[in-house]
Amino acid sequence: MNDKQLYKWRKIGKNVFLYVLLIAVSLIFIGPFLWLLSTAFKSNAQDVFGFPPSFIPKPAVFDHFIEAWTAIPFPRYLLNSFLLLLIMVPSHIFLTALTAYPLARMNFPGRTFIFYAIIATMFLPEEGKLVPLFIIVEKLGMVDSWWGLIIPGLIGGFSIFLMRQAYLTIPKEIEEAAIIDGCGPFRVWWSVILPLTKPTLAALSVFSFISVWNSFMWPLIILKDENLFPIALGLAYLSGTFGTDVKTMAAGVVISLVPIIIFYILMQRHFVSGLQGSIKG
Amino acid sequence: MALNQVETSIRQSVVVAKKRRKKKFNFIPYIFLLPAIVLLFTFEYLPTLNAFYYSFTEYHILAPAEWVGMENYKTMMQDDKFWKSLGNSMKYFLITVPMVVILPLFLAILVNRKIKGINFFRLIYYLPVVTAMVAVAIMWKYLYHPSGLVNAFLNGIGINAETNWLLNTKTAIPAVSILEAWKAMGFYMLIYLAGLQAVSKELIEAARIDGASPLRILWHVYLPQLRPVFAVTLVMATLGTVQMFTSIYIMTGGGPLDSTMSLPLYIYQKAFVQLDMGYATAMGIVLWVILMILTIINYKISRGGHSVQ
Repeated sequence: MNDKQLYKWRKIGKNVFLYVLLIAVSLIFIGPFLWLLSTAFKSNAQDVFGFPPSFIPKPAVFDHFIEAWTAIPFPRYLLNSFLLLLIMVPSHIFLTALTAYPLARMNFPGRTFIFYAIIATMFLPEEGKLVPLFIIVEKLGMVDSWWGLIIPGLIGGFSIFLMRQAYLTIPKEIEEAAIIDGCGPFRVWWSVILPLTKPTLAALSVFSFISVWNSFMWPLIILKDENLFPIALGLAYLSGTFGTDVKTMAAGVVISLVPIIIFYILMQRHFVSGLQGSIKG
Repeated sequence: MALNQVETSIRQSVVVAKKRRKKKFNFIPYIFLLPAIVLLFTFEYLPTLNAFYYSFTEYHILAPAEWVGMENYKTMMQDDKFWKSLGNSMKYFLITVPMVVILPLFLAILVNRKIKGINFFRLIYYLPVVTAMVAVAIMWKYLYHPSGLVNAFLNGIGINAETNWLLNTKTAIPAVSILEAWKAMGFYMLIYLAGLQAVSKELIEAARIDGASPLRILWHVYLPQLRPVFAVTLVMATLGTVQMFTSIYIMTGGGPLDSTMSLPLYIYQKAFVQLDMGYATAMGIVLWVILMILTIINYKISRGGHSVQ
């Protein structure tokens, strides 16, 4: 065996080791999900716990998914979350884009002050604010309704900051050309500038989607009517009542995870770009 | 006289024209900003201002708030449950923060290479980050079952384990912390990955040519350049762990015997279960002050390191 071959074999060995390591680490992150999935498919005769743990459902049955879908108001929770997504993501993105626009591209008295006042909200105490926010929402009559979820979530300092960064990268000439062509300020924003910020809009939508789908604490505080529960709150509520029925609960959790995982796989590019944009900013 | 009138009328019209021009120039940005200003005032600034007021009152939502001065803060000093949850939050902090600040760096190093399928592995490591805490907390609750997967794994590698992780006052906090760290690691991995990719290639090449071992390259080339990234992860991890709520709410509800109660969970229970809103707000302000202090310390440490560099 000459040196070249030795080098080649060493490289292959190194790669094999690398892949074994990568797969071993993957199991830490994906193992629990796989266990959950297999549990949801196990028949009632098969023990969920026990040693050694069994990962293969024998036989694989669909009963628990049907039970989770019919016996408990799962479809209702899912529908609620989808409706909330349809309302909250576009309205959040629209208002964020609208607000950030003059902050990045217009000159007017008070601009710096308003910008810092918006950024400062990121540092206002979430914990200290929680109870008084509830009291305000209560006085506005928005407790136990979706208004209480939607209205306070319309705007956020962080999204405005990211959006402003995106506007700042666009050359001034584009706007000037549009103005000379006779576009009003809203037209300039909506049809000329906004389409140029698509990557940031996509990243913001991804963040907004995730936070709406996963939100728990605020819905827990303001919603009492079970028919209004979004999926995460519904799951928590079920784990209190159905928690001992592990297989049905597992099926329910799997159902709740499927949309977000599909979304994640489809939009993976924007996760990374959005995250890196936010760190650089 | 007439001339004077003409002059003033000209002046007035100039002023009006100026005003009109100024107005036309000005009010558009404010139209763009108006909804945000109203919303941010109502749902960010107003509650924050109110928080300071409510913290000096006794308030049970049904009756009007009643001024009690420093009473809430005095009660807090003698409230064992407050001190216990504060101590627990510190424990969560001490266990979780090192895990999410150190381990993801190694994950990032592991996936920071151009080989086939590496994106797939990054995708998997990041997966827990996008899932709902409620969902994974329910899942991990089953994993921590006395004959669940965690104990099965420990038995598999020769450690005899029959612990009921979440019902044992000694193991419950580490168990919840591990879930929190497991869920957040992919997020910090991506931050480190961005940091690693910004490290200058020439420097690494130079060190390699000089015969430095991979470990020495990590220590002397990567780590000093990653210092600002460490500052970011440290601050984010601190804020995240001191605010832990959902995982505890789902897995233990604060028990057994309040051994896993965190300050945010206690505030939630006081405010929205016992409706003691004044007291809960006062605790919220204390929690905020603690977070500010921790952030400033983190900032000072990382800045201090910076100036040495």
